[in-house]
Amino acid sequence: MRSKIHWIAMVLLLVAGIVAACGGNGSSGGNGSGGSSGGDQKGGGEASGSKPVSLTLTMWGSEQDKNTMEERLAIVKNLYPHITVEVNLVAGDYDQKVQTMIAGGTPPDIMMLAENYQVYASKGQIIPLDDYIASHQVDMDERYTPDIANLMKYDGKQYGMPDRAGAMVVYYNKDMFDAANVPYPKKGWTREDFLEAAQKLTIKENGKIVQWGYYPSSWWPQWMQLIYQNGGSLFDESGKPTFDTPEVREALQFFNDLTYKYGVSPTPTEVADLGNIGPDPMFAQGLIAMETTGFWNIGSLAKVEGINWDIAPVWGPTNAFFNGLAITKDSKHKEEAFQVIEALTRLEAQIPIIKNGQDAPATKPALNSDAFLNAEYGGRKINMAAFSESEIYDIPLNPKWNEMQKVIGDKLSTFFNNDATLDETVTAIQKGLEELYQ
Amino acid sequence: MARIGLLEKGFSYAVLSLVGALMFAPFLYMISIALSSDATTVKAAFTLFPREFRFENFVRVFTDYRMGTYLKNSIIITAFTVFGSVLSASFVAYGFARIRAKGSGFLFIVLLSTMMIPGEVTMVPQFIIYRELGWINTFLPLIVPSFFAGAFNVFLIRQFVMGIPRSLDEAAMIDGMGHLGIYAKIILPLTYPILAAIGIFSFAWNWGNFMGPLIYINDPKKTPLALGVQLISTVSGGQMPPWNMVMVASMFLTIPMILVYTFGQKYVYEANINSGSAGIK
Amino acid sequence: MRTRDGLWFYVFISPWLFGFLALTLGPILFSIYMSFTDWDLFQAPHFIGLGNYEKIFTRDPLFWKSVGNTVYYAFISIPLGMLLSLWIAYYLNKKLKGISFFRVLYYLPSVVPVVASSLLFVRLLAPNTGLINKGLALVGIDGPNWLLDPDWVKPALIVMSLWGVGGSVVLLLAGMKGIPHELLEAASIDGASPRKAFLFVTLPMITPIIFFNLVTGLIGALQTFAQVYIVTSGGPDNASQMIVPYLFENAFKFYKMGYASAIAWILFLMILLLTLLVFRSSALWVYYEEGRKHG
Repeated sequence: MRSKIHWIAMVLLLVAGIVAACGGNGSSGGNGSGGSSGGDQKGGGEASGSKPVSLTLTMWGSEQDKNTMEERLAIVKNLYPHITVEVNLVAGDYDQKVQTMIAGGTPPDIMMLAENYQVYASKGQIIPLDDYIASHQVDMDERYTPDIANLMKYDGKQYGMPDRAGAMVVYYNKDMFDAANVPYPKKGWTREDFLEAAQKLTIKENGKIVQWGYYPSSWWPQWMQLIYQNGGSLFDESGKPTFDTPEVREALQFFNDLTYKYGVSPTPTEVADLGNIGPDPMFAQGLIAMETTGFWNIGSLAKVEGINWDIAPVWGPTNAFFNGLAITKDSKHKEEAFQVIEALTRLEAQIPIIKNGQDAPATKPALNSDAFLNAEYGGRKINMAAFSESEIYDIPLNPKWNEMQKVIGDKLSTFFNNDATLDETVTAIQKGLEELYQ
Repeated sequence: MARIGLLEKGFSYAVLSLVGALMFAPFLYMISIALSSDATTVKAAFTLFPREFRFENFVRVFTDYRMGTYLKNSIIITAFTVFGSVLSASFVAYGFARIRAKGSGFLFIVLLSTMMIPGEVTMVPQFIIYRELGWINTFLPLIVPSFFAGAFNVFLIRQFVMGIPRSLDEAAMIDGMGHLGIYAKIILPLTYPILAAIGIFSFAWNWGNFMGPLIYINDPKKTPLALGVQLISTVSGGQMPPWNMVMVASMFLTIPMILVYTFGQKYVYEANINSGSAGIK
Repeated sequence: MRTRDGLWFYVFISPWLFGFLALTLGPILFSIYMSFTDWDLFQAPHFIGLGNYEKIFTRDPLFWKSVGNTVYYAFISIPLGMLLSLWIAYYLNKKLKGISFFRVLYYLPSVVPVVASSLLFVRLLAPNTGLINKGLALVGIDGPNWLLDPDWVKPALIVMSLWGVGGSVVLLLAGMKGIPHELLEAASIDGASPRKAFLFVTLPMITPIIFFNLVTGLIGALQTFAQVYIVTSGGPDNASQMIVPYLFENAFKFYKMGYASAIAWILFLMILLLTLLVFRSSALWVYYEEGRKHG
């Protein structure tokens, strides 16, 4: 496959005369992927006495995320002393770096991937893990709830082991709820309850709103959850776009009504006047009473004093923010790579994710562990059960995910600014999607 | 020479200060965010003038992040690239500015063309070349190209050399001096202000360049500062970067560039390029 | 003599020529070839002839929108930036106490990373609380909703670009310092005011630098990336989308490296054409000392 590209590249290089000039470097042979490939041993399950193997793993995130990964890999190392995993934390644009590595012939063995893993799967760059799962007798039902395991299924095959996955949850300011005499959100509340609370929690002073009930921002999980809660979807069973349906229309209208009809969310202009900050900082500043966001905000809010908050499940099915670990097609050590990602998703290797307050773990045992349920952040107990109580809908992942986001996002941004009608918006998006998926 | 009146002087200061304040604002904001606490960062409640003074952030960037390593790598890379850029560009520019030869006009356009191609589409083949050379994860892809004369620098020096009267060269040629002699003894000394400017620019450019390291460096121990700033500001989707630490790191990125300019400007401005030539005339 | 000269020319440009042949030419040819394929960065490319170019010219309104935006941006921000940098250089060239402090001050914003300065610009451009609209309100102008308004997002980017004139100012100043004293003295003896001396002596003498700033400014502006990518992401609804961010999206987000390569080569031809035009025009307004014959 790629060898054709290399062939072309090499011919061009010859044209340019470079090989002649620099060929004396003596390193024409096997310095490609950086992994020493001394005899590709198949089925090397037996740990002791195996030849040392060195793998690379690419991931994104912060320096702290990397430290957590290394802590977990140290646990894996106890299991498989002969496997060393080098972590490559990618700064800036992850796609650009990883794609250049792959196209340039030096792919990592293990890749951290999220929503767009399906691109890599559909282009054959990562391998299905089902055979490995079977041969290693991994009980997927024991390890994951079905909705989490499904997150990384493409074409009926398991392409990655979900590693971290937390539902989007509601963060609410308890003091504001108390002041407005509104009951706290809890499992089983509805969109109507949510709207009623948001209205009571919006406070005007001298004709100017000083506290809003809720702010979602235009980020895709925010509008998409409303669509799926409303029984809508982006595609039907056969994969045809279904953006122009009453369910989708009603959900998007509700989204805009929060701002322009009920006035419980700030307008884009008001947000710009606040310095264009997102819901997380707005909540931390005490400007909004509720927001829906991911696990990470727990760690952030733990740094802020004087705000009294907790979390609850969203009023209906919602998104999971997830990432998982996949194995590249060109890895020379797929067996060992699977051993590593399998071990990383065992309970003991998931614990550092919880202990370091990094994220919600993806596996069932970890989500139900005392370590998770009784975790304290910034000296405060939080309703961690909100994560396992959340209901997750099937995110319409597909290989054209990025393009799909652009087609929808371009038009929605205008709609959210109230510069386009609902009708124009949904018909334009439906048309765009039909072109994209024809 | 100029007798500047008091009124005009005052007016000049007023204009310079007013516009200067606007120019200073981004830097001030950077300082203000760098000195903010974590709580302020989570709230994104930054102000133009600093209200908090968390100087410990400047320590944390060494303890929680690898600022020491970043700085070391950046110093090594930048020292080589600045040296290579200035040296090679001045040599090449002499050829383009002073010697007429078959194909020189065409090659000059080719030289300029290299600036016009978006790097995104040559990135992968370039990566393959360096991989074949065994240079991935070393400083070589970042350093070696600077010895091959960048188009921007060559063009700039050429513009200056073309401003130097040819009569100087001609006189030297009559005295039997060859091109190497003219380059070394006449042109080089006259262009050193612009070489100083190029030194300042290529310092800033290489010190601040993160695209090269992003593609070619995998090892955290070899990460230079500009990529380090990117590392600190890269977080998972939906999250907000730790802006205070990003800005602390950005200050380490910016301040050396400012120092280099502050101390380098006298070489750019104080020498008088053409005064010598004017004397000869 | 002629041939010897020719040889010396190649000796002098050899560092560049070697680097070009060894490191640059191959990737260039590679990307030209890829522009005729459907390469997705992963799988073997298929040759599709002019398919990409045909799509660009007939079925990609977004590309043409980004061309329009880029040209709009370049054609306003370049002249504005050149005027501003000349104006600043005029003041910074004065012999005043503490002038080197001001020179540093004006250089500052061009070295502050875009991620940092963009945070400030978003606040400066806020519709009601932003400093810029507050300033406009003082003179009775109701400022626009800069970054949210499709008509004003490009002007907003142009305003931001003006902070980056520091580099061109440095070069203009270097050029001004290179002007022989006797020329300016002669002008002042002839009774020219400082302003007149600037217009009729200084300005012509620094045209080679202005020319340089124009050419590099053109090449840079037509390849604008970071400001768009970081500040507006091309929004709202592509009102600020430009060619290189669009190309980047196609290459690394939509996995269409072949298509992105075709865009790159169209952009290249655009820039080359404009640059050659500027070069052609230079005979009319750029003044090189070497051209002057003297006895």
